[in-house]
Amino acid sequence: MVYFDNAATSFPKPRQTVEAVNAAFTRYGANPGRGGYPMAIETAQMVYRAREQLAQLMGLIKPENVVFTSNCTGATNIAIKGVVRPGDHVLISSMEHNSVRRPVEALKRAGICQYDVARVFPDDPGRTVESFRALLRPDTRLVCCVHGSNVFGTVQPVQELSALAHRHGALFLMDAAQTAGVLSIDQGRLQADFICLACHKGLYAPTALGALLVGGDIPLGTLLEGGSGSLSLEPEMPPFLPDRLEAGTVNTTGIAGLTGGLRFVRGRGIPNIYREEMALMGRIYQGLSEIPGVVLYNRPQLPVLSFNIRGMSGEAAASRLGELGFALRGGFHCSPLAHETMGTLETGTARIGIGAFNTLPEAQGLLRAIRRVATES
Amino acid sequence: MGNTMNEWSIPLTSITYAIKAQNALRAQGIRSQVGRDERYRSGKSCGYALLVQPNADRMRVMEILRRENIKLASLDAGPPQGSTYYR
Repeated sequence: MVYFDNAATSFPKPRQTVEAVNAAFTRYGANPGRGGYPMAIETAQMVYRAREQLAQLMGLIKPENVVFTSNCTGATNIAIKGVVRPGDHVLISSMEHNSVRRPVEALKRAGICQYDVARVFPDDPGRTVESFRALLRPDTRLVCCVHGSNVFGTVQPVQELSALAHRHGALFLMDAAQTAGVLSIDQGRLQADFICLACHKGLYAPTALGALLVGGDIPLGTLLEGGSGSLSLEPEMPPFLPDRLEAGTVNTTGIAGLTGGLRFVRGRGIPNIYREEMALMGRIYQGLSEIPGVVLYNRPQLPVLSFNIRGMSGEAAASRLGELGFALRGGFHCSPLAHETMGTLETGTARIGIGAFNTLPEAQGLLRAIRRVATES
Repeated sequence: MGNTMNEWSIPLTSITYAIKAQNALRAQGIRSQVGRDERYRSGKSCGYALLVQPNADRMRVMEILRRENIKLASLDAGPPQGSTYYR
């Protein structure tokens, strides 16, 4: 099976990740922030190094503002439900994943907030910013925008949207699930209040690890309460990060793996990773555009591409390609808003997600398989 | 802040701040160790403390911690803030 589903999670993981996970089982087996014996302290030091390295990669000054979560959805939920108050308005983009759309919808249905969806124009960032501007209200508390679409590989003008949100007194949340480790992100420059990460994608950590980067001293309500290993005699969660938002034991195995993944990403360099993956994407895009019956929607700015084969649903195309030995995801990719925006709500799409270990021969093999399926259909 | 026989103990609000403090002091050539807050033994805390080398300049240590925005246990204050989730 040739793996082209890196937009869902990266595979294979680099040697550095595997070694770091192994170290978690052999050296860092204690619960960090609980005991005082040497292995507990060493495990806590490993977790702190992970916070520090992730903060450094993302231009975040305070490592303690790196909050580990179970996944990117955990991060978006903590941030959204932590800041939205009764009567607030929220603005989200028309490219959002359900990890943002559903929590906002849930708050709306509970009578907590109202929200609007600002249309994204993939080829016109100025128009995208304008559509957000038109929907901002005096009571807008939070603006959410996905940095890179997990379906179509579009990159949204997040720098401008962050500035726009702040000019209107709103907070800005960026979902960087698809872009962390692929595009350079500098929180200091971006001034995003929340950056939500899926560490198991472009950062090459194991699955079940996400992170929420909190840009400043933002008062946050809690979604989960429980043990934090600090201020234990108090009935409420501690007021400081990361403890306030990390109830219960953190995923030390995943966090150890993240240190390995980060070592891999730093070693290759994000600009090199991007250049190599996009070179492969360019070859695939060109090849697809020459296959009769293949429908393309946009030229992606990320190594994530959606396509269809005429007469087939995205799910059916992915399924047939799976029979031919290629792992792609088909369907709606948990992002109905993005499909609505791009006109693929009826069919869904088949999605190619390129990772650091994909090769040109693999891409050529995929193109041959797609040509075969297109001919069959 | 308390004294042990050989070291100076600074209680911190969390393990994260204890390690951050240790790193900050190490960068300035000051040795320290992360350990349990000694008040733990009396059941008054479950936190961590930094055991600083006995000959360290205390004013300098505190200045470094202040500059790094390290939260000391004694300075921790304030009720939790933010929205209340609807549950």
